[in-house]
Amino acid sequence: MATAKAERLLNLVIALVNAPRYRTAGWIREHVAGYGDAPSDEAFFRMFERDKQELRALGIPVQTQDGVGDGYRIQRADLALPHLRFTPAEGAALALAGRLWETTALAAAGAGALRKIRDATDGAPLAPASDVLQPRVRTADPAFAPLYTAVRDRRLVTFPYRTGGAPSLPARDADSGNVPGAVERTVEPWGLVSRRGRWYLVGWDRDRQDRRVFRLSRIAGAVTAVGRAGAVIPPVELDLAAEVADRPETQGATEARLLIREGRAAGLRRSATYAHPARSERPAHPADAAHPDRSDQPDDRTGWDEVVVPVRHLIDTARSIAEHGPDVLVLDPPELRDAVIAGLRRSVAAGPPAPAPGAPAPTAITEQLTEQLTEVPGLPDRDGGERS
Amino acid sequence: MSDAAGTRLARMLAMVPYISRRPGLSLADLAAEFDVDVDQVTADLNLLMVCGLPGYYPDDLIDVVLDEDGGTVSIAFDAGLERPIRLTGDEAMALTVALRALAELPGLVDAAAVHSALAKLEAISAVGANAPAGPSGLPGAPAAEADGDGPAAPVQIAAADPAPALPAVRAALDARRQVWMRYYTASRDVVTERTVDPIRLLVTEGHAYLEAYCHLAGAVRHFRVDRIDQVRVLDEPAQAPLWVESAVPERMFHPDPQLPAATLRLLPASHWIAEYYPVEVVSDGRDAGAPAPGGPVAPGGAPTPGDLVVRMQAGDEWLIRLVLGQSGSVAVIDRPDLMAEVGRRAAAALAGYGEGVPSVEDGPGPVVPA
Repeated sequence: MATAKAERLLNLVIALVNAPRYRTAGWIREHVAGYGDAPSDEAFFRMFERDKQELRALGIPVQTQDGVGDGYRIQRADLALPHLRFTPAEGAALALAGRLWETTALAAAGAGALRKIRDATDGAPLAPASDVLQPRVRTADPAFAPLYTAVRDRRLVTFPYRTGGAPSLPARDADSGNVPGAVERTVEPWGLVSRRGRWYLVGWDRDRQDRRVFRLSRIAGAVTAVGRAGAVIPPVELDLAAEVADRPETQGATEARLLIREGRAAGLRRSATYAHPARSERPAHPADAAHPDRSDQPDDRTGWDEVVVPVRHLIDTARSIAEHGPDVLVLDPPELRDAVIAGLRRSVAAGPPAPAPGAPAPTAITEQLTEQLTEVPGLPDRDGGERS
Repeated sequence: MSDAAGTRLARMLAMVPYISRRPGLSLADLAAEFDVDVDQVTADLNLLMVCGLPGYYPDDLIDVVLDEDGGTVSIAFDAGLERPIRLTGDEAMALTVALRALAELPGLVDAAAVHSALAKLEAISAVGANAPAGPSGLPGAPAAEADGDGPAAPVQIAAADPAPALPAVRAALDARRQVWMRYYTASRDVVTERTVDPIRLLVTEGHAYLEAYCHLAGAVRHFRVDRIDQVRVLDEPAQAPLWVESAVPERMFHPDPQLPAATLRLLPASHWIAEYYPVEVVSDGRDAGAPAPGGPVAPGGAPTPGDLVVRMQAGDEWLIRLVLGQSGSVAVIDRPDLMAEVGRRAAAALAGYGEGVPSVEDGPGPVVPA
């Protein structure tokens, strides 16, 4: 079956690309091997119509004669790649790009594209890719291939999705929040985006009537495409990278002043915008005058460095400070100091978080991020309030 | 069925120009290039031989010259298929998305060359899409998603974290020179100075890694380039490695096999740990009530639905920091000594703020078992 069809399609391509003028359907039926077997006019036209679609899907445009409707050909210039010329540097970039994808449908596509381009650069072969550079993009998630196809064909998908691991889900997600196991989601897939080695699907969640980001590693079963191709229309202004970007909080302090015990917390120090020696070795910092209520600081700063670090997410920064225990203290801002103290109090119990009625409500942006990425977890866990 | 025919047609159309440019190509090489077995390649060639120009007389057919003994193939007549056909939507997507990803890694490859290659690709992709296609043109056709000014590609690789040391590392690789660097080791939270002999640059899992022989460790190591705080290319030539792997390791982060495994209970707020680090899931919370094996019941009671119990290999100090940073949503359930240390450090930190334990001003506060 596949042999007969592949043979018929190949003969059709050869016939139409070598045709000196447009060919009618009747001519094709009579002269191109494989079409003469059609038992009826209707069967022939159905077959021919499907074959044209198939060729277009492969990037082979069958032209129809303007105004006539019954005349077909394939322009050689539309079928074949023109002669291509690439500089050695461009060739090196292409060669790397061609092997970027590892073990997916796109791996074969990348290799195929590179082969075609090599064969289209007659006389000026592309340089082979350097072995000392090995960029790779992995798409190990089983959901990648079916989602890619659905995104490309713009078809609706359904899949079981695990949200059990997502902390502090907003109330509107209460139906799926914190339930181990998966809930079937129906999504208009807009695009796939990889960030820090993880793949995300960006789309419109039909059930929740909202734009959502799904992590592919949390898709707990088969992805099923439903409905017709072309049914999904992504918004024109869609910026996939921005959907999964690690956006800084838009309000609140953008930097914090810390005391770090000498020789400790090397990681925090890496992002310090300035650090100066302990107070005992320097004149009083002008900022100190503006904060007379410093009774909570160590009186003697010998052995401490004062540094300023950027704050992109309050809770994230609080975690990275809390993990150093008594080696790092927050001077400013007060909300960061409070967040660190609240976290440390919960750690004292060294168990699950106790009810925290006074805990600040998570901001919308942080909720969104925790749901999307959960690399920035944090936030008092609402579920925990029901325990103990 | 139709997919199989389409895939096969695309392969055969690509084979003709590939073979014409390499007369006497071995069937094994042809099969390897197209990632199919020799039987499939032979079947494709046999099918090509019976296709050709209408009329289908012997001289009209594609003339595939098979040397059965030598296992090689040439093409004497290609029936007008001498050039590779245009890129399919998938092929254009694979290449353009990959090039854009490379462009996001300043210093890895010549960014100007990446952009000019992209422009050339977009030019050849756009011709087919814009060609006068007549009434049965392209709308709705799922192929040809190549984007010039059209909508952005529906697949994207977001920029990696900036790695300022990348150009210097790349230069050292090209010049085969040793590199001195100040490197931040996140697992131990220390910065060290090292001299290394660069071997390869790997980009995977969203980060660039320098694979190099490290004189400090006396072994080959992978260094995340965005954690190189200072770098200097030395005059000293780098020692050539005995061999260079072409594969990229499955995971770049390997726990030290010498380290003991600890059992962690993760509340939902800390489930990200199970996805972020290599762990073995002991219980996913569905069988709640059954105490996790391998240790005393954690402070706070038996696992509740929604808790994950995992085992991971990690050093004591790293675990203490992990738990301290997670505000009580992680417990090491088989290491009460570590949990005691967590409690001690948290209390000491609170004392640094002049805060007592437990506090009264913030409601009930944590329930500390007597």
